[in-house]
Amino acid sequence: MLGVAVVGLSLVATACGGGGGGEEGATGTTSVTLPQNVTTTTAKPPASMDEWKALNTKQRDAMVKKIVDGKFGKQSDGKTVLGAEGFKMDLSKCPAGWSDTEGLTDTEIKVGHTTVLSGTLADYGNIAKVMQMYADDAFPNGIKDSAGKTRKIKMVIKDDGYDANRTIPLVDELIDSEKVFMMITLGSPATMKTYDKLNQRCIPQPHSQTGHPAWGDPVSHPWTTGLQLAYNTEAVFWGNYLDTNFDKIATNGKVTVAALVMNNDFGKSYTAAFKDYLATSKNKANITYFTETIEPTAPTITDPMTTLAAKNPDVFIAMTAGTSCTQAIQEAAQNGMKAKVKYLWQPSVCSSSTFVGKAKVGGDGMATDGWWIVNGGAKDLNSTSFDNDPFIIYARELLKKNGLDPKASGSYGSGFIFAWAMNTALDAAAQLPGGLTRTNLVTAIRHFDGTHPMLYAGINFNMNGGKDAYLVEGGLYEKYDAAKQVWVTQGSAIDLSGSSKPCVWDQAQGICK
Amino acid sequence: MTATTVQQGQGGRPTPLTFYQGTTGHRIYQVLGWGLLVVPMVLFPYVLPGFRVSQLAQAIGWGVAILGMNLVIGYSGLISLGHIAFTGLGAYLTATLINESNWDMWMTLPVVFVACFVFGALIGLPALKIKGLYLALVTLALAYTFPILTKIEGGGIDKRTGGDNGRTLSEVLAPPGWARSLLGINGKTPPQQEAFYKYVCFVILAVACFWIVRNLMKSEPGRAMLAIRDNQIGAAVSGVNLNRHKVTTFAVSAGIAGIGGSMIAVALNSVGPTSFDFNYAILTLMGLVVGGVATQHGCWIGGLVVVFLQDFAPRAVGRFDVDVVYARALFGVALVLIAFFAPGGIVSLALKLKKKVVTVLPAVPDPSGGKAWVPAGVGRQAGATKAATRLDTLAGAGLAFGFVSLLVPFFVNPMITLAPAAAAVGLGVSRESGSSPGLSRGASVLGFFGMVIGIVAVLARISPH
Repeated sequence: MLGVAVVGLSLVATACGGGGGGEEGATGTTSVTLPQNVTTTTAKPPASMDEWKALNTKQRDAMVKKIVDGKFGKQSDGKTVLGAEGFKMDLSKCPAGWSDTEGLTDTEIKVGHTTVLSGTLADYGNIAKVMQMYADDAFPNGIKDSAGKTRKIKMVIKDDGYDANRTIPLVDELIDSEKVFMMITLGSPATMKTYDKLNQRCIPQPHSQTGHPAWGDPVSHPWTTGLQLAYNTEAVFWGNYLDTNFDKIATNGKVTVAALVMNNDFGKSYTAAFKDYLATSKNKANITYFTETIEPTAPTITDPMTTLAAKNPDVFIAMTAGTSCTQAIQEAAQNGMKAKVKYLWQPSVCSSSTFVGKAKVGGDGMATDGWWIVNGGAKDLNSTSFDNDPFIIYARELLKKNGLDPKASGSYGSGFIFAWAMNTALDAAAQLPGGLTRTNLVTAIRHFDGTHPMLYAGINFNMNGGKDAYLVEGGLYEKYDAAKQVWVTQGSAIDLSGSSKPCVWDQAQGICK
Repeated sequence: MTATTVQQGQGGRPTPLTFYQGTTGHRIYQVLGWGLLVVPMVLFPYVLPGFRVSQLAQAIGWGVAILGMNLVIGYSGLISLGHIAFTGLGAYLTATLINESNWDMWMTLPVVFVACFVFGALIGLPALKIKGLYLALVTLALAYTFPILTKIEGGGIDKRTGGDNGRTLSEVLAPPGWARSLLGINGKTPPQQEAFYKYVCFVILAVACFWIVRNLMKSEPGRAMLAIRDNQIGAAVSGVNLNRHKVTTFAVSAGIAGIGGSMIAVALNSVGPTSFDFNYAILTLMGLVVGGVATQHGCWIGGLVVVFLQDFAPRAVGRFDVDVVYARALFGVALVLIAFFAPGGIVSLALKLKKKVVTVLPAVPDPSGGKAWVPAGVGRQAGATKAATRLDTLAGAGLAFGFVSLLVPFFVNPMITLAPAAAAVGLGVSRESGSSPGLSRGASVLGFFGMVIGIVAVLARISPH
């Protein structure tokens, strides 16, 4: 048991862009206020891969039992899928000719995946490589289902170059010509532009590779789910830390926060959620918030960083991604922010050593020393902190066995997160009555409750029918130790599982309804 | 004029086919030329999978956008890299009017044209003072800025545009019942019907745009554009109002590019900043250059390039187990090859090849004032007899059969059996029509290939469905 603590309810209420009242409570070991109703209990983590497999099998069977006992899944009328907490899907709305088993043969599960294999964001394509690699290794003979079929996963991967123009016809191709069983998309624009269609066509779109809150919509988009910590939830973690440590951070009772905001989906999600948090903060009258915006394609960030440095902030937050994370570290070291600013924050998407490590920031690597981050719960594949972690050891060896250097890409670790989730969900769905079907897959994901070997102990990986639509809702604070080149956990994991409200995304308003 | 001179193509070498204007053979040749364009256009939506038809619809939209760009770059000689902004404006306007005001796609088109026309006129003003690379820089800034403008918070802009994620159109262009029956697509799935209908609508819309531009280029303003491009001072001396024509050209081209944008938005059922960003500014320019600057056919090809080169390049390198990262290198290689071997684009290359195969000669007027006639010594004697005319017609028919036999086996299975028959007719006619050697050779070549393809099709049991 790591801890029982209390957090401001606003932490999650604002996660979907809404406001919420702050509420203080007893502080836990993390010095962060946690909700009273959240208890993070963690058993001793498995010490070997065999123990991991045993644990996952046990959890899978428990999941299946819960679904069967609850009489969830496709009902006998063949037109309704029911789940916990009022989850419901109406299959009569599926198009004529729709099949619950399309994309399945007796020996194969065809998974469609649009991702980025070319262009500036091509590194994300490594997630797909790892997913296929893991599927082949974890289930060398395929996934055996309750109907007696054993099927191997075949991923049909298409390159959209992170261009939604290209994603749309590729998804059409995958569902109409390849006739895939399920679709996985990468990036918010691509997912946003295809999830209406996939839901209308009743095709599962699980584990979308983006942190947008819109994927937590079990009513309007029951066939779509996300996986990772939503961007706006992370922003609330920043705000909460600020409030909790306000006196320590403040200069003459005032705090100035400066943020470098990338002008795209997650940059805006970050800043919008952070503003929402500040609006409800008990210290809102004493907090000044400045931002400078950069384009995702900006080659340098010197100008906006210089402008922000001139504000003499107490806190700096890089609400950005990719190369600009590294550039923010370098610029802060050069323009004096590193020495003057009390808290410098990196976004969770840049936790990898491929963004903050010595090799990237240059010199002795000390420019990153003392930076903070909200870890979205994911273990760093290349951190020496996990040299004895059995799953990390397995993951590194699997990459090397396939001729890949684990340190070559920041996306390999993410690949294992998504790979484990996909394989385990398919395996769980396959154990349900009727074997592997599309509706069983959605049912399994909507009731998933397991321990993800790539997440920190204490971070739950679960959903609960129509109530909890987010798999990961936890994180932890970390501080970078440049001498050891690792993120050092500050306190224990904070898990808010089940606290986030589902989000019906309003495109016109840009908020969760 | 003698036979040895009139039958020569490029480089003084004789061409396999020679036609005289006004003859039946020439008319059939013309019909076949259009057939090469029209027949596949008609057949494609019936035989291709839905997503390919959807991509074709998108390509047509890009083709119209490139047509607008071509007016400025190709026909007026002004360098504009910012036309993607007009295309994007058209797309966003259509999306906004559909989403916010429940307009129909067709209703948005006039508004889009007028709005883009006005915007284009404003942007065209700098063209009065600057030119060349400086104008390119100004328009480049427009291309770079447009996607950023769509993400502005405030003034309700990002609410209407959807910011970084863009917006999905609330209404799709679905075929009404009568259209489904007319097109014979009742048996297709709703997504296929939608793709088919969009394609048909866009073909009609695109043809209208191309027809307008074609007429424009033949009119006084069009000739003024060409005059400005070829010799600005000369045009001014000749009385062409440079200022008026430059601004008008920008305005019209922006209007047409905007219509292209509307089509793209409807084709994709969505809009977003990445659909009209700097990358697409370069891609459309590339499409224009690859297709053929200052040609209308080149714009169709340009649209196909924008959509399909991006799609095929990763597949092509993937087949050779090469990392897809290198797919973009194919773009560069393709550009270099085209610049080297076809500096005028694919259309100019096709015209060059055509000139090596076909020579079309003007008919010499009948001195007696009758119908045009063909001079002696070029396949038949002067004062051609009725029999010779019949043979010429038959040879043309053989050519047509040969052509049909090339296409039919691919698309209609029962017709496969006709391929050898068509080939036989082509071959037979070619032997009979010895008096028109070019024509007979064409018929026999096409007939032969038709026969081969027919046999292969039967053996391989090619099924288009």
